[in-house]
This record gives sequence, structure tokens and C-alpha cells, in this order.
Amino acid sequence: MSKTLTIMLLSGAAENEDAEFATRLALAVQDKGHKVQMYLFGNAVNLSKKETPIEGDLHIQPRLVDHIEPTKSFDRLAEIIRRGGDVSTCHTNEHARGIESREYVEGVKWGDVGGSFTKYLMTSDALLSVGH
Amino acid sequence: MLNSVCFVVAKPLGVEQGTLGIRAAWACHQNGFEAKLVYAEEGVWCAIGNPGYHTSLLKDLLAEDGDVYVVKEDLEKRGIAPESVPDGVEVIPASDVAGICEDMETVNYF
Repeated sequence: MSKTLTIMLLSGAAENEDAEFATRLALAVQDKGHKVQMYLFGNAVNLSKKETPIEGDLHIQPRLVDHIEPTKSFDRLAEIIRRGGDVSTCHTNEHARGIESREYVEGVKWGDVGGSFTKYLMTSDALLSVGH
Repeated sequence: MLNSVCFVVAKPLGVEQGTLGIRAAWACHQNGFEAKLVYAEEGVWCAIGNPGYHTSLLKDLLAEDGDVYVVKEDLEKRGIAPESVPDGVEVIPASDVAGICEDMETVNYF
């Protein structure tokens, strides 16, 4: 029987591997036929926005770009959504980072903890918070 | 559906995750979920009435009959007197934390 997992992700792409873990876990859960909801809280809201490309030389070594690339979770987020996953953010945390007006990665929804997150709880069998 | 949620705040005052913990607890409480908030480890620094957003939200939660706990041993380790904790916050021994967690359907650590 299909169940629903909600993941509350607290970390962005750069400070640790939590975002990579959470997005890979979400895909694995979907592979098993279950539903996934993700709430991006705290620094995780940085995963929700499209990149603003910089023209010219980044002045960052390619191997360092590979290491820190904030967009590396975007493809997995998009795939989670394409498979029916529901992903929303905390717009207050976006505002705190000055990114609220930027465009979302396709499928990511504007949200808040009082609305989006508690709505997720109403349809969840399990809640996992990921972040440190 | 999850009906009950425990939030453990272990980050000190000034670290965003601690604020996210109480905000999530407040949101759940206001939306009818059974929510318990436990301050442990460095998180006890958030529960001693320091001025600012965290304490103001804590007061709102207590005024709305929110369940808030702080771990006695973690206060003692930091030289914080239990009397420093605002009225309404229950000072509990560390041995009681497991029971609180067992009573809830999910436990989340901030």
C-alpha cells in the first residue's frame, strides 16, 4: 500500500550533503511506489530558485564549482516533482535571504510553515526532518 | 495523517534552526495538532527569556497553552538556574524526554 513521506529539509546545497541525501532519498521512496512531499525550510529554500547565470569567467576552479554547485539538486527536485512529488518552500526564509522575488525551479510552490507544512502533515504517514 | 509532533530545539539562541523549531511548533499548535516543544542541549539558551523574537514567540505559545519543556540537566551544565525559565515552561529531568517522544507520532530535531 502506498504511503506518504514528508521530508522537512533544513540545509542548502553548500553547507553539507543533507540536500543531496534528502533528494536522493525522495527519489528512492518514489521508486518504491510511495508519495513524497518536501518542505524546504531554512537554508533549503536556496534550492527552490532558478540560477541567475553569470556571463564570462567565474574565477572559480572547475573542481570547486563541481563541489559547491548550488544547482546540483535542481534536477533531482524537478524529477521528484515530475513523478508527482509535492515540493514547497518557506517564503519567509526566502525573504530573509533576499531571494523571494526570484523565479522558482519549475514545479516548486510558494509556501509557509503554517499552511503548506501543516497541510502536508494532514496527509503524511511519516515525517523526517533532515538538517544539522 | 500525523496528529502529534514533538520538536526538539538543541541549537542556541541566534542560530536560525532554533527559531525554525519554535516556528514549526507554533504553526502545528495553531493548526490543531498536538505539539510539544523541548529545549535541550544548547537549545536551553532559547528558553530563559532573553529579549527578541524567539522569546516573544515562546510567550505567544505559552499564552495559547502550548506544551513547552526544558531539560534540567542541560540548564545545570550551563550554570543556568531553573528559575530563569519563564512561567509555563516545565523543567523536566532528561529521563522524561524519552517518554515525551514516545507519546508523539513524530520527533523532529532542530
